[in-house]
Amino acid sequence: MQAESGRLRMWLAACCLAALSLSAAAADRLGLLRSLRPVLLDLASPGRLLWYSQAGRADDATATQAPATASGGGTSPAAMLEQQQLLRRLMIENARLRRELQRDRQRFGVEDPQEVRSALLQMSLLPAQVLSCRDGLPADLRELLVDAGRARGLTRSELVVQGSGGIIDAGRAQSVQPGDRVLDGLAVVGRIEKSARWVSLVQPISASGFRANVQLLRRTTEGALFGSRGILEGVGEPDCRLTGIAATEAVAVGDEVVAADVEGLRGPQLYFGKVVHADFLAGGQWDIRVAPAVRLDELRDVQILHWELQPAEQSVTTAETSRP
Amino acid sequence: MKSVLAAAICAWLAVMLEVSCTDLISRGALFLPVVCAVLTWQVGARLLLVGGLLLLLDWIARPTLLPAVPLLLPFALLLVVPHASRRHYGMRRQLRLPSPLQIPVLTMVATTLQCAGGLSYVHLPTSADLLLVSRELTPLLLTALPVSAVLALLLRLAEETGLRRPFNSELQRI
Repeated sequence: MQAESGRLRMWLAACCLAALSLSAAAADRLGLLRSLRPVLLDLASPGRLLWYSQAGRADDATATQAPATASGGGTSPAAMLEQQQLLRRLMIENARLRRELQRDRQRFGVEDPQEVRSALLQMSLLPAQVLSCRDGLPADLRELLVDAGRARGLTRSELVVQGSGGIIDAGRAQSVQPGDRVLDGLAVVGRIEKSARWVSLVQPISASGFRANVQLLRRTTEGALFGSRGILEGVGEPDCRLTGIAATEAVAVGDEVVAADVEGLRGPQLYFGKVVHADFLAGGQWDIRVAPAVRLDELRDVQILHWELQPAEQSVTTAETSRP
Repeated sequence: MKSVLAAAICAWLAVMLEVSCTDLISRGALFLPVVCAVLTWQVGARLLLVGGLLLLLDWIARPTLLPAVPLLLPFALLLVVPHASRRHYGMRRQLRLPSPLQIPVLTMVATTLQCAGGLSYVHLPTSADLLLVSRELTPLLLTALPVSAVLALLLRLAEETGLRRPFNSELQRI
């Protein structure tokens, strides 16, 4: 008899779990579980970090034992050559832009306040691994979670980018001043929406609510020319919408879309995507759609743009305090 | 209470390993066999609730389209694991699943449900969708089934050493 009642309790428990699961599915559709998700993944993070640290030590030991093997592996010579060519082209382009900028400054004598603020800060890239986004969900329903959080100094609204090249410092031989940076393939994935201690939730650029100042870039026979500025908006569809472009400006399908600024500061011109649809509406407005450069289901590693104070400021402070 | 705590720790370790080695271990390849072992450790309402809640929390952390595993796996357990009174005191002979096979069978059901949970429920699944599910299921089973076999052996070992009582919890109270 008691065994029968135990069996009945099990059936009741299974029914309760089914009801709870359906409620959770409904709550997820309404977006009520978004804040819970990073917290739950945060709970698994201490063990994960321990695992990474052990794996890192093992890798270091392997690298010490076999340095020749480690230096031998990597990209193929053809890919390296291609990267070098791309680097040269970008350096030349950067140098040309630098010369033009200097000439314009001398001509107009304008001191940009944005650049003064940028001089106090430097941009760093925090590497992070994508924790979600590979499971059986369509791309428009996926949430992107990365393994970097408040413990690494992240706050809300920092940009998440993807690119293997990162930032390359150029030399004086190409008339580039020290500190100038050449961008190699950094494409914007989204922005940090919510950061837990070790995990952060990313708002992709196609998600509704995403907005960024962007600028059009058109490739011509004379090189790349910057076009008008606008606002890139995510609308919850695969393609984003570009607004704020004046009716008198020229826009064409195939124009590239790059960042006008990074969080209000002068930073690298990050790549957002390409114009795939540009219609001039009867009301005298542009209807422009932009295809994002990065597909979420391809993502494995990302980088997070993080502004921090110049280390020179810190070293001066340290020197002053250490003085007797 | 001890079994609940041990179940939570084992599940946490499995999730931690899966999240750490996403390139090596498919999602659920460790977690699902562990939860199946938790469910069959002492078949009762308490561990059923604990296992179901662990599955639900895992779905919240790493969602698919539908929470098919926490929704249906408890019912699968009730069908797979025989009724206690009939199993031990029934007079009539009946077909029942041998206990070493319970965890692997439950794991197969759970992995299939997890892959099916990724199917869109808006329209009927096409053959391409089913092919995609089978492609996801194969590597998952390749890891999950050996793990479930090892766990079944461990449960049998625990039975032999007296760590696990082979009868159902309701029978222990009789």
